[in-house]
Amino acid sequence: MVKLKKTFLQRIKIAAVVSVILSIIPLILFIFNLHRYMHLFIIAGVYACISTALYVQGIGTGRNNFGPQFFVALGGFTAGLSNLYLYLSPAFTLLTALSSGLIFGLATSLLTIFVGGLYYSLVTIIIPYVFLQLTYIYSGIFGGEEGIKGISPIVSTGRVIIDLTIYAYIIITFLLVYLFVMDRVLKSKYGLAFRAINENERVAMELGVNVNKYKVIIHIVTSAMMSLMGWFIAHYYKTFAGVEYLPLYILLKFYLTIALSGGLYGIIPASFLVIFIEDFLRNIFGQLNYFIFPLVMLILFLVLPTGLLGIISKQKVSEHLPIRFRRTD
Amino acid sequence: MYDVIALNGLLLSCIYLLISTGFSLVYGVFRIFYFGFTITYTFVPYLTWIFWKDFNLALPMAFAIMIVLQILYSIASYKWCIKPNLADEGRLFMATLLIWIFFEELINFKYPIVAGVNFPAFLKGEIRVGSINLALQLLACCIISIALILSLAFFLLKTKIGLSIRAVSQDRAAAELMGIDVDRVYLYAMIISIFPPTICLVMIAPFWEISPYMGFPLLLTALIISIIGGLGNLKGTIIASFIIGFLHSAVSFIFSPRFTMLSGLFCALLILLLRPRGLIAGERVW
Repeated sequence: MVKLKKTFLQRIKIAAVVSVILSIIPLILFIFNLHRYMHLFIIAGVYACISTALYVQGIGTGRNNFGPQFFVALGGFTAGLSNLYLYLSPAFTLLTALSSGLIFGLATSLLTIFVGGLYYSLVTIIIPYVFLQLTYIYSGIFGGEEGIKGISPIVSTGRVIIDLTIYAYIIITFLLVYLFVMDRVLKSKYGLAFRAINENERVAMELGVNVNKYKVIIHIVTSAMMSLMGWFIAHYYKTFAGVEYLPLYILLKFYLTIALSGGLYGIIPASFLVIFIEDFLRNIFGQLNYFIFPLVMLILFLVLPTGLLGIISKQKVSEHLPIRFRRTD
Repeated sequence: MYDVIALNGLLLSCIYLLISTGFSLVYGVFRIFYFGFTITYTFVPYLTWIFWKDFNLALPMAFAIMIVLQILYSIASYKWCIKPNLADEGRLFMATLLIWIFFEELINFKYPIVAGVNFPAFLKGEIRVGSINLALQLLACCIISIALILSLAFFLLKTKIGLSIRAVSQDRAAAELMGIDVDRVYLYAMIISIFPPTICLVMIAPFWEISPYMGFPLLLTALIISIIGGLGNLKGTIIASFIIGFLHSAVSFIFSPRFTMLSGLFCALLILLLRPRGLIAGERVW
């Protein structure tokens, strides 16, 4: 009992520390009027939210979804189109984006039941590409390469830094809700069922876990979470183009974030690392960044096999490094 | 119109067969999703172009060097990327995805689409089939495609190495216990897998749009075919290539070429619903 209480207190402590750190950063950036870093902070927050949903989806369904960008684009287009053509305010487009995520999440959740293992991954690679093709075919609706423009912002105070700060706090709210809710879910009896499904579906079924029900629920919920990020992106940039969010390159960043995280809470530093490294390389190398970024990420990926949390959990960094990088003495 | 659909379907089927055979073979032997295969499609025209135009070598020599480099790439990929991550599919996916994007962007940086990479046809002239004029080189591509697949089938069924490949694809542990050098078999599979797409792209390069980003659409076609045929099964790949080839041709002519990928996906989803492990669900190469 004492141990349980201690663990609970530890978790509360971690949650409090994460919340405080995340809340202070935009304040500092606001005080020093650092627009660019505030923007990067927001984007990193968006990537962290999507990666959190993807991470939990992977655990709950026992499958690798290679097409999360489909749901991001779905949320973005639903929000944008309902704002432009139905004149709905961002508060209502949030509901439409959420609904689209839930409906398409329900439809595609059937894949988690009928399509096994690698077949599922391969089908999910194709779905965003087909959606991208549709955005070109129906460019009158989706705006083709240029995307849809003129989406109304969530906030507009007239001062950019204030707007950015508000956006930063909105994304922090999303991120904290996503993280804490998912952390609670993963540590509950449902989380145990998800982990059992992830380990071995058949065994989980034999142990009395309603595998299909859990897979469908987690798939729908996480898909809706991704769609909400599409909503945020659409209103943040005031434009949304399929060519920006549907190609495979964006998937790379989500999976890199997960691979470098080493755990649920590691997603936050990992997403910041990925976004800031990309920006840093873009500033230094310009066009060369397109191939230097994957190279740098590949090196990081090989050097950090257990992610960023893996470094923290070990006493020495050298212990964490792969054998070939360790000193032999 | 039906004769055009039929001929175009046959052509596409043969091209798809070559494009997807290598991917299917790699999956059949390794049981992994090897994303790095995508770069093979891009390497064929661009490595040849580098040695042909930048190094001023004769075109056949440039082709030969390209094939040697492709083999070296396959060996390096296996040794440094696939082998260390064989047990962890997620890591392997990430590593191969990063390698692919690195090479693709590098090629795009040096030779963007405006660089106008193109190749002359080896076989000049056309042949009249019914009401259609067909380029001789494309006809040769069809014949080579069928000959190559028959040779591959013969190789897998009748040679010792082929037998080893089939054994590893069925049960790696059992094959290892029977004294088969699994490492070597994997390497053979990697090397053999690059030949069908390489030959295909050499043949169709004069007629196909060459771009640094051409790999992914080709991989998607290979994916759809592999899903429909049954992952890693060459018999299924042959059947699925013809289904998708004729489907794409029919959709292009009857509706619009823009719907081809969509039709392929729907076909794949339909088949997955009816036969969740593809048309031929054998967990083996042949």
